[in-house]
Amino acid sequence: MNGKTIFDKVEILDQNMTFSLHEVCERGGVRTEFVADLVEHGIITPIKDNPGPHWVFDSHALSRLRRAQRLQHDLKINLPGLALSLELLDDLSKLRHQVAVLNQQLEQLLDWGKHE
Amino acid sequence: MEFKDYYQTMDVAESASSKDIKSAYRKLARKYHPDVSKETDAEDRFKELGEAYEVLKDPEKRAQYDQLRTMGAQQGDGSFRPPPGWQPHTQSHSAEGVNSADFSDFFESIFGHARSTQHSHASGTRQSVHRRGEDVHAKLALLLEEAAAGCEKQLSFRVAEADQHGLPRQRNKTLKVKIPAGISQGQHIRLQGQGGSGIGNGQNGDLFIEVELAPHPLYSVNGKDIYLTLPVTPWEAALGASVTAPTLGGEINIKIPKGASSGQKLRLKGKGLAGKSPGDQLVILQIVLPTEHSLGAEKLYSELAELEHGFKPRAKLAAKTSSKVSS
Repeated sequence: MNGKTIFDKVEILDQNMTFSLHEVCERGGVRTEFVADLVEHGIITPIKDNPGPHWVFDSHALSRLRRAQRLQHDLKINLPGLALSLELLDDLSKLRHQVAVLNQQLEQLLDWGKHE
Repeated sequence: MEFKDYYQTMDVAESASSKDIKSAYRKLARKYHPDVSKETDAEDRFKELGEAYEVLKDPEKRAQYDQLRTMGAQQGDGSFRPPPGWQPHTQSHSAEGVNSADFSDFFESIFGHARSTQHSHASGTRQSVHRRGEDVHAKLALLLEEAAAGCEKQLSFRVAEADQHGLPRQRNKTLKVKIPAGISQGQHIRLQGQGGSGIGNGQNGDLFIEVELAPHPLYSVNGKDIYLTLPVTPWEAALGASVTAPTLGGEINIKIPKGASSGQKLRLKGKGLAGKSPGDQLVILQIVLPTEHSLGAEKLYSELAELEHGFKPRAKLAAKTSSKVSS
């Protein structure tokens, strides 16, 4: 598969595209205990309130699990620290996005004030 | 190949103690961790840091490296060639922080190919083991127009693969992807089988892409709705008017209602991002004035001021201020 080939079998993932606990473990290369720990600390949340072994996750849980693994491995962060860091990182990225949007709007307003 | 100055990478002196090196690593790892840092080259910096730390934290490797460094194995042009007779040992690298399959050619020419502990069991028994390839998670920034209309994008990412000896290798992969129309901020798309290759009969991993919308010069986005601030003149607002406004689908005519005010929102149904339930475009009116008025216009304003002298927009402010002063 080289750069010239156009890959068009692209799926948009929504709430209907789910992954079982088993799939999450297989894809993340982790044990169920680790996923249970992450759920317990609120780092990832199953989308349906099924009991433990029947948990169902969306694709955001997969990427969050991956980030959690990397942070834990690379920076030696424990679970409560991991929960806090991920929450703060999420807030930070939301705020950065908001600041970018607000800056954009502000520039627009100032711009009109100048030219009109 | 290029000589890598690990001391410079870690920003420590050649005489640094192992304790200094450890704390320098921790500090820089937090700074350049790709999940934490917003610097664009964070991933490369973090990789280099992991490699430098792998060498400098290990007294044996550090001694070998120092020897090469002082022996002047660097060529005149700054490139590096291992001295004649240098035998790289194949050894286990503990690889704290980074995947040792990611280490540079420079590293491997000195210390041999990584046989990292996390993968060795899989490569040793690869005949009987079937394992799913690694999923790859990547982010993709799109302009709002691209997200709305769909587009083709070239993606570059790294995947883990086994080389001919079954050892893990990172490979750069480039792929052209057709992004479907109507995708929104934070949504995931999946390309099945485009992740790391599976081991044995194991399936390939998938590529997951998270979409991020870049700030747009005109529109801001909230879910599937888009917002546009539209400047209107005082007379358009007072009398009502038909004006053109940009939408993602091109310019359209919209009707400004009579007696409109600044901040008023007009909803253009279905003109937001497409999808099962398409979003709307919200037009926020912003009354703007010319910086200078002609004498004629000023005269008309004076007349207007007399006609509308009963309009007291600051009545509430005045009431609040006086009650505060009296209390």
